[in-house]
Amino acid sequence: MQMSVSDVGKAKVITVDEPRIDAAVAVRFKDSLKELAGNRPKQVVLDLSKVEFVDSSGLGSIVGSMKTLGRSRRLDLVGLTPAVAKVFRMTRMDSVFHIFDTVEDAVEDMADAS
Amino acid sequence: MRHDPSIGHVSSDPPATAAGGVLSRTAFRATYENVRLAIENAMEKLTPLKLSDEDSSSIQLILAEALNNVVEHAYPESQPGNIKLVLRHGRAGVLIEIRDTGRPMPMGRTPLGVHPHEREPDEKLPEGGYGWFLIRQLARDVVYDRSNGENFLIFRVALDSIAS
Repeated sequence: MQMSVSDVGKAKVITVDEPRIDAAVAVRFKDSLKELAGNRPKQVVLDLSKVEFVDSSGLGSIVGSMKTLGRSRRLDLVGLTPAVAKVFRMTRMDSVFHIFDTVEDAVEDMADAS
Repeated sequence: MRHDPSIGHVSSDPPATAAGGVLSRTAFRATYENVRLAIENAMEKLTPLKLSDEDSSSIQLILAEALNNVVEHAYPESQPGNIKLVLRHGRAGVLIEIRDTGRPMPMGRTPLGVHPHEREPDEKLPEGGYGWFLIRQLARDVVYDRSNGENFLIFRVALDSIAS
């Protein structure tokens, strides 16, 4: 699973560098995200702007990742492409996550909140 | 020229005509990796229909949820069987036909597709169980049949990008 990580402000930004998060990679995605997120930053921002398709297994692995991070940490989503936004909307998971257009918006929101 | 559908038992590419017909016919071993490849291949075969992004993502989702279900539920993990997938195009939209020789659907029928949160209200953030919930919202007609040890599923997707 191709994913890259960077620090923006106090946030850990994880970018998915593959077009699909589906059943074929769901478990690897969750493991990679956990590893890349580490255990320090309060905010992890998942950049999905390169992802064109997420199925219910992929969605489940994103929800699972949020649960793994725990209550005291945030997993925010940015850059949802139309097909990905549709899955979040249909399953009502768009109300569970903080979703932003850009990484900067997400980091700014966290700064305002703390 | 006459096309004999019985010939295309592994993979064939019959021509898509304006009147509709078979767009794609494939068979593959039931693994998640093969499901991904089959979806990518199917979407390529559907390009002549010039689908809207909305229709395209709906078809991809239905294919993913239905085919992944076969991988997960119909066959034992150690012994994946085959999946046959046929895509047809007609005036009613796109017809997706999926066959497998695995276990039958629970109680011999397709799941109702209730949102997992409604099935288990105590579970605030369900990580699974969205498959049929999504299919029910995206597919117009769902037909399930089982005969001679074979599961047979048909979904119809009405297209907003094609006048019907």
